[in-house]
Amino acid sequence: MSGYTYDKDADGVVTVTLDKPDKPVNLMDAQFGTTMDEILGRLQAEEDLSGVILASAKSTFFAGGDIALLNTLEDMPAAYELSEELKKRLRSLEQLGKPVVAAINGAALGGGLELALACHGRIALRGEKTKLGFPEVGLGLLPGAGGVVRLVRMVGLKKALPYLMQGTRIDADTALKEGWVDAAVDTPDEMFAAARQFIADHPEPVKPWDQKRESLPGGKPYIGPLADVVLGTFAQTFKAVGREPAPHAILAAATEGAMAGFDAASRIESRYFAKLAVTDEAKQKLSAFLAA
Amino acid sequence: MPATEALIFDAVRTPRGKGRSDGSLNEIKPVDLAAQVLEAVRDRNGVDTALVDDVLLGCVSPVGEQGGDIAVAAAARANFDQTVGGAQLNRFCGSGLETVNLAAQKVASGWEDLVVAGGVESMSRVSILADGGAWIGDPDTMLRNNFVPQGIGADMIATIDGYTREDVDAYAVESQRRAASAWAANSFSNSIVPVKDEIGRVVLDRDEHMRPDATVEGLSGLKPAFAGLGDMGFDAVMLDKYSDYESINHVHHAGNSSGIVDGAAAVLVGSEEMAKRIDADPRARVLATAVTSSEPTIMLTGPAPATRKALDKAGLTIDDIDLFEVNEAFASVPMRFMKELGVPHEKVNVNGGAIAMGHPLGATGAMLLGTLLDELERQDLKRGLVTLCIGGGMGIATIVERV
Repeated sequence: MSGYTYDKDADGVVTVTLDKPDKPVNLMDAQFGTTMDEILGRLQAEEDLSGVILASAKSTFFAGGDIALLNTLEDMPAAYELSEELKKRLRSLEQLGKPVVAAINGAALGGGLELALACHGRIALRGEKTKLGFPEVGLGLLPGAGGVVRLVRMVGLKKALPYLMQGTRIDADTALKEGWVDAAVDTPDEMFAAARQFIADHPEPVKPWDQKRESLPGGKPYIGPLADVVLGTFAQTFKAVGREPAPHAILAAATEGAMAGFDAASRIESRYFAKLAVTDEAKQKLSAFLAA
Repeated sequence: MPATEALIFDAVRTPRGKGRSDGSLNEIKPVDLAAQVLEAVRDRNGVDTALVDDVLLGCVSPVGEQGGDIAVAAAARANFDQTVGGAQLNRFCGSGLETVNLAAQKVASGWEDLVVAGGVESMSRVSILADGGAWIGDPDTMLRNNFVPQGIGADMIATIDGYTREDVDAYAVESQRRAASAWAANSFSNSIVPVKDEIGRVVLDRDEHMRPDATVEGLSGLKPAFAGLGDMGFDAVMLDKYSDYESINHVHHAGNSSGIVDGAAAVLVGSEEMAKRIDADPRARVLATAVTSSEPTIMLTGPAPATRKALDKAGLTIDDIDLFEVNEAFASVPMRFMKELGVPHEKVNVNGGAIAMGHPLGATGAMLLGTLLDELERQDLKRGLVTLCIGGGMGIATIVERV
C-alpha cells in the first residue's frame, strides 16, 4: 500500500490518511490517480460504511497539482483528458452515497482544495499553516479539477469570482465565513470529533447539484444583477491584466458553467483548462515556478 | 427586379413619453401602445384586416410583458382578423426599420401583399438590456470583440474625429431647437396618434422628453456619463484596439445622447394592386433597403456603410437624396455620418431627433420613416433616406421616393 493509510473503526467510519511516500506534501501527481482508484475501490466494497474522514499525515492537507506534470502538457486533448480523469475520481468520491469529510489540518491549495470541495463536509484546523485558495491563476491556469464549478455552485458566482480570478488565500475562519468549510476548530482532536459529528448528522449526503432542482446561490448570470457583476469583472480584469488568458478564461468558465448542469459545467471547465494549459503564458509561469 | 413595387401607404406613431416611472406612458402597457398604433393604421386607411398578411413589430428588450412575440398579442388586442399573425423582430436599435424593410421585401417578392411593420418599446416598464444576451454578457464573446458599452464607442468617435464637448453639445442644442420648432409648426401632426387609456381618455399627445430651453452653457454643467465605466476598465478595452490613442475624450452625457422613452409606431406597406383593392393612396415607394455591419467595438459607425450599400442598390448617389433621418443615438453618430458622407446638416434630421424626442429602441426606425415621409411631403421633395446605428456595429438604411 502506498500513499495512504486506511483505518476503519467500530462505528464504520473509515479514516483515509494521505501520506505520499518520500515527499513532504501530498500531490496530485501521476500516482495520485492510482492511489485514488485504490481508495475508491476499497470504500465502494465496504459493507457497513458509515462515512469517511479524508486526512493528511503531512503538515499540510494537500499541496495541489504537480507543476512538473502540468508543464509537460503539449496539446489540448491531452490536457482535457488529464482534467477529466481527475474529475472522474473526485466525482466518484462525491457520489459515494456516504458522507466524506475533509480534515483540513493545514494548507489546502489548488488541487488540494478541489479535493476538499468534492467532499461533503470540510473541517478546518485553525492555525498559521491553514491556508485555502486557488493559486492556479498565478500559474496561467485555472482550477481544472472541479474547483471553478464547485466553488461557483457552493457560494454563487459573485462571491466565487474574486477568489478564482485573484488566487487569494484565506485562513480557516475566513473560509468558514465564506462558506467553504463547515467548521473551524482549534485542535486536531476537535477536528476529528467534528468530522465524526458531520458524518453522524449527514448519513446520506447529496450535493445540491445532484438534487432534482438545483438553485444556484445568487442566481444565474446573463440577466439581472449578475450580468452587471460579470460585465464589471470583465472590465476590471482587462484594466488590470489586459488580455492575459487565465483570468479571462476563469471568468468565462465560471459564467458559462453557471448556465449548465454540473457535469456539463465540468466539461466546460476542462476545455478552458486545456486551452490555458498550452498557452505561452502558462508555460512561462510554470517554468519560472519550477526554476525558483 | 422586384416582382412588384413595395409601397408605403401610411405611417403613424405615438408621442414619446419619458421612460421613467413618472413618464406619462408608464401606466400604458406595451401591448396597448402597440395595439393603438395598429388600430390607427387600420382605421385611418379603412383596412379590412383580413387582407393583412402579417404584422411585424420591432422590440429590443423582448422579455416579460414585451416577451413571447408581442406582435401577435398586439394584433389580437387591436381586434385584427384572427387570420393575421405577428412576429417580433430584434435587430437592436434598427428593429423598427428592419420591420419596414422586411415588409417591403415580402411585398416586393410578390409573396405577400399587405404587411404592417412597426415597433414598440416601453423603456419605463422593461429596462434596456433586460434581456441580457451574449453580446454584452458572455465573457469570452466580450473578450473576442473588445466589447465596451456604446457610450464609450460614441466618445471614441468624438476622440478620433476631434469633436469637442462644445461641438457635441451644440449639436444637441440644435436637435432640441429643431424639435421644438417642428412641434410649434405642427410638423408631426399627420403622424401622431395620441395615446389613450383604458377608459378612452388621452394620456399623452405630445413628445414629453424635449428640453427646448437647453443651451450649450447649460449642458456644459453635466458630467460625462461614461467616464466612470471607462475608468472601471472599458477605456482599456477600447484602447487595446485603438492603440494609437492614449486616452478617450468622454464628451457624451444624458443631454447629448438619445433619450430613454416609451412609444410605438406602425407603417402600412403593400403592393400597387393592394392599393387599388383597398383604395389606398400610397405615399412613397421603397427604392432600396440595406443592412450591414462595421467595427464592433465602437459599434456606432454602421450608418455610412449602410447608406452607401442602399445607394448602390438603388443606383443613386448621395446627392440624389433630399432629406436624411440619422438616428441620434449619441451626438457623435450623426456628426460622423455627415462628415463621412459630406452631407450638410440642413438635410439631416431637420425636425430634430432622438436627443430631443427620445429613442424608444424597437420603434424608432419606424418612427423616423414616418417623420421623413411627412417632411418630404411638406417640402414637396422627392427622396429620403433613414439610417440607424445598431448594437454590434450594424447599420441599416432605407431609401424611399414619393409617388
